Amino acid sequence: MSGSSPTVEVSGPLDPVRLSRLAEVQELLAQEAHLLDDRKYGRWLELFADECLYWMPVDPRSSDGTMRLNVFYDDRPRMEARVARLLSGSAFSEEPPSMTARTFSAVLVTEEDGGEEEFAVRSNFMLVAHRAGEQRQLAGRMLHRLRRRDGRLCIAEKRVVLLGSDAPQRPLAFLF
Amino acid sequence: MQTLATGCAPAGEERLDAAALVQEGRVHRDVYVDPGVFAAEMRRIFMGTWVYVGHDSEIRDIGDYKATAVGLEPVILVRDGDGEARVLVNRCSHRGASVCMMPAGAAKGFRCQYHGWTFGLDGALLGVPFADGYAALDKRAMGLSAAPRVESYRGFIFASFNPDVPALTEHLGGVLSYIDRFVEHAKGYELQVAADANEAVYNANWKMQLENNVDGYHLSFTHQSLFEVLSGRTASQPRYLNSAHQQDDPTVESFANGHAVMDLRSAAAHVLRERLDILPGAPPPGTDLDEFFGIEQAEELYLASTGPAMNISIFPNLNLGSINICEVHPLAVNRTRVVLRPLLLAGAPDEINRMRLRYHELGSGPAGFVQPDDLEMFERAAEGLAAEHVQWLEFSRGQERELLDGEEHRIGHISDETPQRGQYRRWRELMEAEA
Repeated sequence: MSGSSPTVEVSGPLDPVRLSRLAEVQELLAQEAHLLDDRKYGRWLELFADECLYWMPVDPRSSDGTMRLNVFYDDRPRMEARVARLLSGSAFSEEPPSMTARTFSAVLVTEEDGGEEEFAVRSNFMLVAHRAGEQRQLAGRMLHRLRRRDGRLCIAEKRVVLLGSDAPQRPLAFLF
Repeated sequence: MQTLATGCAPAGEERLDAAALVQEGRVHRDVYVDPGVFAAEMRRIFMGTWVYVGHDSEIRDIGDYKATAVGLEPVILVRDGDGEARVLVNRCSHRGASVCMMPAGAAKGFRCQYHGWTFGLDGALLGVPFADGYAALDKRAMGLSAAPRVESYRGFIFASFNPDVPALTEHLGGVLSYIDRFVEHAKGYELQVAADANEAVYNANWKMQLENNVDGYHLSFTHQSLFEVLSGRTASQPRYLNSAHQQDDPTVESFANGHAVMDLRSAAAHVLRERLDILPGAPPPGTDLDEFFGIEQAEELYLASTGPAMNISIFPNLNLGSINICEVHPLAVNRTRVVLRPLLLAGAPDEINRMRLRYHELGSGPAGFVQPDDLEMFERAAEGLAAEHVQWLEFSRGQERELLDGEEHRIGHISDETPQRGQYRRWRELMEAEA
């Protein structure tokens, strides 16, 4: 999967500035995870920048989904439509909804070219989903591109690289 | 409760009574849940008639291959050294290991990694390591087993393990002109299967997916949330979804050999542009489309990104709809794999193909706004059909009002079950045939 994900460099000790940013990133990812598990989708949308991208490639090695087929490839209006559909009560594959519990780990700030204003974060996730007597375990990695807006971090891009995204999947209609 | 097929489950194939299971206007639950019926289907239907295996653009050059299946038989569709499409069984003729592990690729031949036997692109056995250990090995008889019949129509490649099937074009018959129209939505460009596919698996019978592709009745109910989301952002939904039966409503048709069509052209045309305009990266309202796409007459090609507005089901395993090829792969009586491959236009501007990909993603795939809800309904049906003391599924809708154009070609209202009755007439025909 190299080529799809930013190369991880062995970095020096965390100075106070980087340490404080890492804590800020961890908190954002934790908020996101809890909002999704609680189905607080409106507040989840607020974590994103106005111009944003939320996507899952079919090919886990794909780093640019523009000309490739994706499991989903949402701009902000499409994210809002996805949320509206999930909350409509008639998105039947999620009615009743899946219960989810997700954890994330191995959080690394991987790209700092944008300096303090914009940077990339790589992490791994494990998502357990339960619905209609079926428990599923989904895992993969997340690549967040974060941007500072009015002093606060927001998500400009979230790429979800799901293990098995190119293999037959049960419905993945809930949010990642 | 005893089952009709056998009096005990699973059915012994020799005792299966297809005419008792499928009657005009109703189908017995065993057809969906009985492992014995499923085993018979794999032999009599999937090994007995033409089965779709792939598109020309998936094996464009010599050596290009795709691993797929004919029913439960694992096969390799490959372009051999003469440029012919071949369908080889993915099983070493020595001790049975598969000789091809990748879903697709390009090869000079196939090699079994167990004992090193090698095979040509035509399946011929080329090499046997330490051949002096065999006194009289007939290498010509030890090639990879191959489907005796492989034919294609307008890029769609079919195979049959039954050497006696009629020519493919004869088999497709009345549906040929619809395949033509499906292909011609590309406005002269060549259809090219995308490099990636959406794959899903559901826990219900394979025929659910085949029935569903030409089922106009379910659209406004199963897919209610799609139309709510779309109509919140666009002006209108297809008229037939919210009105009573009218004279010029779209139609469904069934043809000989179980093929069927749902023709939405008269209803869908006016909503297509609106659906495209909400896609991520769509040209904003007022954009000069010729300039945006870099070609003349761009609007026509842009509108074609939603496909020909018709769904075609080729019995038993190919659905065409929207802009995708849908392969239906039975895995077990209650488990099915569905592969959706969007069709792009070879040589068209990238921006056109980008819009086609985004359109496909709107509905299709495990996170689309359409497909997961279909799969959900198939599984709810599988749950309901666990009820043994309710035996029949009702398929009589529109039986009295469908038009007969000869015995084999029937035309019904968009919401009628004319296509499904045609599919089950064919099912019964094949299941009654001598095994």
